[in-house]
Parts: sequence; structure tokens; C-alpha cells
Amino acid sequence: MKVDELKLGVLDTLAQVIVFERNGTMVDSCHGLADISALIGQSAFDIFPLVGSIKEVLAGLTTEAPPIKLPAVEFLLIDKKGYFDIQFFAHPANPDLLVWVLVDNTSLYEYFGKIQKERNLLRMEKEQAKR
Amino acid sequence: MEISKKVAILGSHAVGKTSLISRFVEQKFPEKYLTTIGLKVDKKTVKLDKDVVDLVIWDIAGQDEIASIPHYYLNGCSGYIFVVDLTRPSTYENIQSQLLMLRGILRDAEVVIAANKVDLIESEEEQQEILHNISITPDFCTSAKTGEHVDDIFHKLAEKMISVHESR
Repeated sequence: MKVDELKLGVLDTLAQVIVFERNGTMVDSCHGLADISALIGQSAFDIFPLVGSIKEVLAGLTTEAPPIKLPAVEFLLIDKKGYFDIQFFAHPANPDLLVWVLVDNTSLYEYFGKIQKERNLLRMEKEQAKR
Repeated sequence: MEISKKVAILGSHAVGKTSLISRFVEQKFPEKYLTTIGLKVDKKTVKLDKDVVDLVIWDIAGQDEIASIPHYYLNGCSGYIFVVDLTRPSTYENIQSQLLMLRGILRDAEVVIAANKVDLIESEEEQQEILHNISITPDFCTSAKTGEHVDDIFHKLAEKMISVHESR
């Protein structure tokens, strides 16, 4: 088995790639995180408020532009809930299409969340003690 | 008119941003403190006299430095609610410089300022004293716990955005 195959095998259940037209219509997707077959042909702008709310920003994406990156998004993709690192970019082979990538980093961000919560509570205790 | 607008909730950690959204969207108050990591998006429709505004609300993790917010989180925002905690001076001590920086990033966005956790203030006198120490007068003193003025902050932001939208 080649290294690239091993890599793809690991990433297969950690990531999802959704391709949609510039008007929002979803045209293709893998199903690494959730099966969205039933949504193909529908508008990502209508179904996912996050995507719809940045459609004007997405309209500005070109193949030369850097991807739009949204780290640590708490998100529900059909039945898959978690923390995803999200990015959008213009399809390198067809600028009429946009690519939406979600990478599941739930366990990592849940861990960060616990640490951050402890830090925040400690800081608030210190602030209260000063008063 | 029916329009959809992206709005952000900003402010230091643990000022009650997520709780305000939870109260507004689900009419619930989470008793347990939950830290937001990154961002979470919610949606709620606000009906005004003549207009309907779909608010897509970006709950952005608390930050002490505006500059540390990933800029893509803010791109395309038509408005934002800046939240401070009436019980913690550290959350409003630098409010002027933080708002100035936000105005530089979100040039055309409308803003509403919420002074949250008013339910923890014991008297009107204490509240006035605290408000006197905040260099910018908040639009509303809110409580995510009791619901006081929570709808008002979102309605006011919706009204401001509609007003700007119509004037363009």
C-alpha cells in the first residue's frame, strides 16, 4: 500500500469535500463525515446558514485568491455534529465552481475547550479577588 | 422587505455572548458556563413593523484583543453586538479602543452595545455607578438569565441594518 493511499484512508472519515456552483447549488460531494446525497441539487446557501451568510464573500473567490479559512466551527452537517476546520476556495479546474472542505477536529477542540474554560474561570476568580 | 444579514457577537470571554444568543434564539439560559471555541452560527428571523430580517448570528469566541479574531470570521458582517459584563471592569476598560479597531475592520457595519449580567447588580445606584465608569453608554443593560432587553438588542441591530439597507 502506498503512502498516499494510507493518508487518504486516514483522512477519509475525518474530512468532507462538497462542490457547489456559484449560485449555491451543490453538485458533488464525498460522504466522509455525512451522507449528503439527498441534498445534491439543492442550495448550500439555503440549507447551511453559515454558507449563505457569506455568499457575497464567496462570490469574490478566484482561483488566484487564497482560501477562506474558518477554524474551529461548531457545526452540524446533517447528523454529524462537531468542531470542523472549514475552508472554501475556487475549484482549480473550473472557476465556476466552489469547493467547501470540512475537516473534523472535534476531539482536539473539545480538549482545547476544557483548557480554555479552566483558564477563563481562573482569570475571573483573580479579577473578583482584586475587587 | 425581507433580507438576510450576517451579524457577529463580540466581546471578552465569559461576558455572556453565547447565553444572550441562547436566550434570543431558544428562549433558554444555560446555567453552566460553556466556553465557545472558534465560532458557532445560529439563525433567527426578526419581524419589524414593515420588514423581516433573517439574522445569521456568528457567535465568536471571546477575545481580549480584537486583532486576534481571524479576519475571515468578520468578513461580510452587516452588524455586530459588542457585549461587556457589568460585573467585570476588565471587559469594558478598553471599550473605546476596541470599538475603534472594529470600526476600522467593519467599516459599514452597524453596532449595538450590550452591558450584560444586569441581574447581578444589586441596586440602581450601583448600576449607575458602573455605567458612569464605562466610557461609552451601552444601548441596553441586558440579562441573558432573566431575558431583560435581550430581544431589544437584536431588534435594534436589525432596525439599524434595515435603515442603512434602505438608504442605499
